[in-house]
Amino acid sequence: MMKKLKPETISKYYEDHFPLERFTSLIDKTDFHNREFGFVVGEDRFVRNISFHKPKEMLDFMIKNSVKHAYVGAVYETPPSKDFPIQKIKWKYREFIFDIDIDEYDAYNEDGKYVGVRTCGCKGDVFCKDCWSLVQEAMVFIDKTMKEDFGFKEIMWFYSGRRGVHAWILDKITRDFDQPQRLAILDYLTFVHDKKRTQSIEEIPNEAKPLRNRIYALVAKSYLEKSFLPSLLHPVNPLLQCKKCNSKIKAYEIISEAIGKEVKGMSFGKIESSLKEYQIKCPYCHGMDLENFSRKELEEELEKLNEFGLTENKAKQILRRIKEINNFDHNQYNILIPENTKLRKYLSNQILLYRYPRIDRKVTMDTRRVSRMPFSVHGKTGQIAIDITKNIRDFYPDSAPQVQDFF
Amino acid sequence: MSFELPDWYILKDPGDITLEVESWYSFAEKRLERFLSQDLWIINKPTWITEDEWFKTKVEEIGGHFLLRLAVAKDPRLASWLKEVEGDLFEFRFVSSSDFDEKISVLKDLYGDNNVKTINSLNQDFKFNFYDKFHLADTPTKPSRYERSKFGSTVKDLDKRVAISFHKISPIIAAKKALLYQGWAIVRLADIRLVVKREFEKQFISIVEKSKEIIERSADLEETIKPIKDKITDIARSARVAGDFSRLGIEEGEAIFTKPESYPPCILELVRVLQSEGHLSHAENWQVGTFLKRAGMKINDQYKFWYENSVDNVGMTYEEFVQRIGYQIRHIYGIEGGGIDYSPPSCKTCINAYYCYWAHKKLEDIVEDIKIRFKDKSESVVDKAIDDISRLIINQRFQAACARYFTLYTGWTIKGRRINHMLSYSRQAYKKFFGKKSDDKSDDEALEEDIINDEEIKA
Repeated sequence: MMKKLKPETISKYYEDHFPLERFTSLIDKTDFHNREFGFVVGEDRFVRNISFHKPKEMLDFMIKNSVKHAYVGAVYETPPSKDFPIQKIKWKYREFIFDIDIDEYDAYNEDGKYVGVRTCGCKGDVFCKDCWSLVQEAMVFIDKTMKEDFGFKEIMWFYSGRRGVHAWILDKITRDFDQPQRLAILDYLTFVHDKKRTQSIEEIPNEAKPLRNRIYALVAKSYLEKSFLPSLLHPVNPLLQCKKCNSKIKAYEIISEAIGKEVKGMSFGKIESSLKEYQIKCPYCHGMDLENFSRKELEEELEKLNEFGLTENKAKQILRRIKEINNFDHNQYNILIPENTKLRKYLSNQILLYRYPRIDRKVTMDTRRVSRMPFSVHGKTGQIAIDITKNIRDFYPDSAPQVQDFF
Repeated sequence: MSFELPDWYILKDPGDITLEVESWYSFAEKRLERFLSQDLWIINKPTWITEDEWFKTKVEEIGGHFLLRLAVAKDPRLASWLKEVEGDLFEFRFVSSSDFDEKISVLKDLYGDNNVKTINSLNQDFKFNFYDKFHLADTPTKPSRYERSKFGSTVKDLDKRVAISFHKISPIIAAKKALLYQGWAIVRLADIRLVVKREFEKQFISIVEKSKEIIERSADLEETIKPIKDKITDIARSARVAGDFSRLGIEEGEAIFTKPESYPPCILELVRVLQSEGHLSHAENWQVGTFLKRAGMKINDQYKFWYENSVDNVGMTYEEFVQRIGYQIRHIYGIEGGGIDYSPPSCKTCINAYYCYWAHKKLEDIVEDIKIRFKDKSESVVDKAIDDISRLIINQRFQAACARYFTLYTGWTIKGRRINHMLSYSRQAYKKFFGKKSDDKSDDEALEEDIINDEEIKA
C-alpha cells in the first residue's frame, strides 16, 4: 500500500524535477495564456477554468498548491477564468488525444456478473502483466494505424500514472479537428460497440485493407497466442470458480498456499486432485465446491470449434505453428486458419472481442475535456505520468517512477 | 486557381452578370422550373440549341440561382428547402457529368486544392507503395455495381478513384469505406457522391448567409424579391404534400392513379411485369412507387397495391408487410430515410438507369403490343405510327417515340414532340380522357402550352 503523499513532496517534485520545457514543447506556447488548466488541490477539490500568462506561473501555482492531479485542456479565444468559464468563451483548438484504460476491457451483464475479456481474474484498476498486455498491444496497434493510415508523424505516449496510457497526436492539423472529425477516426478504429454492455462486434471490412491486414497481423496473433484455447497444450494461469459465490481464484496461488510451496505447470488432473487432497476452500466465502473453471471453459470452446469443423488436433497444430512464426502477417493468418466461412467469422469476432484495442471515446471526442498533464504526479498512486513513446511494446506500470523516488 | 470549374457548378464565381430588375421574377421562375422538371437539369450544351441560347440559359441559371438565394435568405425553412433541392440538382449534375476533370475541379473547389489529387498526380513512390499495399492490381472490378444506381450505368467514371485528405470526408472514414494510406483516402467517385453533396449543401448555406447580409442592407430589395419568395413558398409547401396535384395540373380529388389508361407505357409495362412475375428490380420498384405517389395514390393505398401484387408478401400478414417491406414505401413518401419527398425520375434518367419501355423493350415486342392495343384503329394510321416509332427507336430517340405513341393514343401532339417526364404523359392523357370540360379560359390556355391539336398539325 502506498504511503499517503505529502504535499511538500509533491511541491518539491514540481520545483526541482518537473520538466517544464519538455511539457511546453508539447503544446503551442504562443497560445499558452488562452489554455485551460485544471487541478486537484487540498482535500480533493477539483478546480477548472484556470489559465496562466506564462508557463512559469503555472508551475508556481502547482508548487504553491501541491497539486495532486494536474490537467491540461483546450485553447480558447480568450483566457478561461472563473468569470469567463469555458462554456462562455469560444473554443479554438485542442490536441488530439487517445486514452486507453485497462478497465475499458471489463463488462458486466445485467446480473452484475463479469463478462469482460480479462481472463486472468483482474478487474477494475487491478491489473497483472497478463492483462496489461492488452494495453501494450493497443498502443502498438493505434500507433501503427495513426502513422500508416492517417499519416500522422508526431505521436507521443504517456503513462497516465494509474491504470492506462494516453497518446498525444501532435501533428498540427489534428488540433483543429472538430468533434465529427475526431469521431470519424474513433469510428474507423472501433469494432466493439457498446463495450460495457452488449459488446456487439462489427465485421472486419474488406475496404479498409490496411486496417484489416493489421488486425490479422497484430491482433489475431496475440489472440491466437494468448486467448485462443490458452490451456489446450498445457494449463496457462488456470482459474478455479467457487460454485457458491462465483468468485474466480487463481489455481496455482491457492494450491501453493495450501501445500506451503510454490507450484507451477500442474495439469488439470493434478489441480483437481490437489483440491480434494488438501480440502481447499474458497478464500472469499469458504465454500468447498471449487470448480476447475479453465478446464470447463476449454471444453466448451473445443465443442464450439468442433461445430465449425475445427478438431482438437488441428487446434493444437495452430497453437504450435503460431509459436514458430516470427514475422506473422495477414497472409500467414490466412494460411493458418482453415477455409471455413463460419469458423473464420467466429474467430474474427473472437479476435476483435478479446484482443482488439478499446479506447475511452469521451477523451478523444470531447474537445473541451481536460487530460492528465504529461510528467505530472498522479495523486492516488504517486507515480509520474512519464513519456513511454520509445517503450510502448514493453512498458509495464511498475517501471514508472514514484514521486518519492526523486528524493 | 489553376483549374476550370464547370458552368453548372453554382458555387463558381459567375463574374459580372447584369440582370434587369423587371426580369428578376422570370429568371427565378425558370430556375424553379429546373427543380420541378428534371429534364432541365442539363449540364452540357444540347446539339439543338445555339451558342447564344446556351449562353442565355447559363445566365438564367446563375442569375436565377442568385435571386432564389436572396429570396430565401431570411427564412431558415425556405433556405433549408432550397438547400435540399439545390443539393439534389448538384448531385445529379456531379454524377451525370461525363468529364472526370470537371468533377475533380469541383472537388478541389469544395475541399481545397491541396486536399484532392487524382491517382495520376500522386507522387510515384507513394503510388507504388499504395498499389502494393492495397493489391489494387488484384482487385476485381465490379462492372455491375452501379448498373442500377440512380443516375445510370452510362456514367463511366464512377469507378474511378480519387485521393482526398481523410479529414475532409469524415463519414466515409467512419464507415471504414476508404482505402486509407498516409492520410489520403483513396475512394471511388460513386462512394463519395453523398458526402460531396453534403459538403456542397454546407457551403451553399454559407453563401445563403452572405445573401442574407445583402438583403438586410436594403428594405427595397426585400420588397422587390417578395413575389419570388411567395412563389418559392407555394412550391415548397406543395412539394411536401404527397400526391402533389397542383404540379400535375389537375384538381385535388382527381387521382390519376385510379385511371391506368393514363399511365405511360413504362409504368404500364412495369405493372404488367409485377403482376405476372411478382417482383421488380429495386430501381423499378422505386420508379413505380414514386409515379403512383405523384399520381395521387395515398400511402395506405400504395401499401395495398404492393401487398397484392408483389411476392414480397409471401407468408406475411398485411401488418407485417407494412412494417417490414413498407419501409421502402415510406421512404418514397419521405416518412423514413432522409425525409425527402421524392419525385419519379425523368425520362432521361429512366433511359439511363431505370426502365424506359422504348429503350429497353425489344422492338418486335413493341410493334406487337401496338398492333394489339390499337386493333380497333385504322390499320393505315397504326402502320404509319409503327413506322415512325420504329425509326425513332432505331435512332435512339426514345422520348420522341413516346410522344409519337401518345399522339396515336390520344390524337394530341406534345409540344416539342418529345416526352420529358412520365408525369407529363399521364397528366395530358388524363386530361384528354377524364378531364372536366371547363369554360375557364385560363385552363384552356394552360392546356395549349403543352398540346397542339392533331388537326392543327395536319393543317
